[in-house]
Amino acid sequence: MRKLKNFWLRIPRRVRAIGNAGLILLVAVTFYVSIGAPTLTEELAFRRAEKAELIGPSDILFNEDVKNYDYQHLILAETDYGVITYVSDETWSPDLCYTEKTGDITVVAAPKGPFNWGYFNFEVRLPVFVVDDVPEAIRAELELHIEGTYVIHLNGEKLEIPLDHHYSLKADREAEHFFRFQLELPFVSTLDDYGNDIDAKHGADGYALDLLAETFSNLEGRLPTSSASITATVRLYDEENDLITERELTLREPE
Amino acid sequence: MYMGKYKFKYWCSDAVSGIVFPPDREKVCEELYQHMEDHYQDLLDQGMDKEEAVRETVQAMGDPWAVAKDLAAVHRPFWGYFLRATRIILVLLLIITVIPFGKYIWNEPYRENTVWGFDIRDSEAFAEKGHTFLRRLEPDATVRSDGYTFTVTDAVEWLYRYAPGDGTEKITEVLSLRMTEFHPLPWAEHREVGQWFWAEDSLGNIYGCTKENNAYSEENYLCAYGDQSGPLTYTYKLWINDFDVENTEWITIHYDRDGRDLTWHIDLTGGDGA
Repeated sequence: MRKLKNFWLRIPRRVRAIGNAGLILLVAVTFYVSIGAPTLTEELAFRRAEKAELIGPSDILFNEDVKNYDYQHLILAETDYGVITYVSDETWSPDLCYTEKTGDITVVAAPKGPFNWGYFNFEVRLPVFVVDDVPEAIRAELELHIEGTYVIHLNGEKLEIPLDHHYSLKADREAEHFFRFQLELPFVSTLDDYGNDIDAKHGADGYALDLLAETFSNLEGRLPTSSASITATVRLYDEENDLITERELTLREPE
Repeated sequence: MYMGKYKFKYWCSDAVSGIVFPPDREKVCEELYQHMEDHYQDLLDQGMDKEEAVRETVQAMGDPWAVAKDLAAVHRPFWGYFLRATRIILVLLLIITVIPFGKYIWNEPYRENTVWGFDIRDSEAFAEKGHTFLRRLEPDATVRSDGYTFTVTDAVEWLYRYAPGDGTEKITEVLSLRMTEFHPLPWAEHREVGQWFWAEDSLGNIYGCTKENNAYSEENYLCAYGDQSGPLTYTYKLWINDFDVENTEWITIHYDRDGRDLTWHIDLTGGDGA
């Protein structure tokens, strides 16, 4: 041991310091791998996720911190064949959802919403996108019709929540290839504000938004068995405010 | 010790005062002191008295402030501090690495879910569970995509016996496959792509993939369950239900999504029977 120490001390200080720096690099890489090699940006995490899903590489259309209740960051991307929505936050695993394109107009929602419970004490916001290949369109209208029943299990009891919701949304083009819409529920501070009645308007609105978000989620076990259907009507307008195209899309068939 | 030698200490302290890195300062101070001590001893041996020898030694060493300037120029502090910093960082890094890396190696995240309560690689397990093992094949069908390598390593045909709950016992023919997904980079994620698999066989049957179907169904279907099976591997267990064991010559597993068209062709002739 003493021989080794003497040998080490005979090595010039500069060489020892560089040797230590090399060891630090080695240990740091080991540490980085051992904690799962986290990516430094959301975009890198998304790129890794799409590769693992065997989709892409895609063109990222929207990449922003949205600070929604269930997630912090939202990415919208498209490939030649489909549209990808990706949400992540600091706590849960990110969700990536791939939706096959429906021609030159595709409607998708963020794949995660405030599911099932707690439509009080925070604002409910669900981003909805129309991904298009109609560059002359500068304004879009989106009508969503959610109709049927939403099934939940409460205290062991199966409840069928009737849904008949119609949303009319408008958006101007923010960037190429997509229009962004936002479905929102008003802020409700406590359960008492809309009562404990599960069929209350506010609760049913929440379930309607849940159903829409879950339709674009590939999380297993999240989708309720539901007889509800979701249809969308998309109208795109040009600079002269003339209608370019109108498209009816079925986003969800009743089961 | 002759008290006059304290002047050596003063001289040394002044001479090394320009050296910034403390360990260097102490070491050089010791060396200078030793040098003065030797010189002092020589003078004493030549018959000089102590006081004179001290004065002569200090004089011989010259101006301490001029020496201090020269020593400061030679002994730069950078490498000393750098070496010290690398030591501290290395020790801290080793401490925080050993814990998670130990978990990474010795934890048991890779205990495979056998899905049906037994491992299809164990031929004896079928009889133990009341089923009938028919035939084993090693197809070794490999497909590569996106840096991942998917290999169907095992295929087993067997009879699955079950009680649907109406007091009867039913038997269905099943083909089970093990498919291993490998990526050479330890940080590459493995995701559940098995839910997008579907299959077709030589008889023209199509097996759609679903996880909702259970083994009591009598319909054609394929279900795939995946598990992390090693640091770099993920293993899918595929169950192909209501399968015609006797007449099917081959089966092809498909993954066709987002422009990819991956197929695994599995020849079902030959193999080891029970």
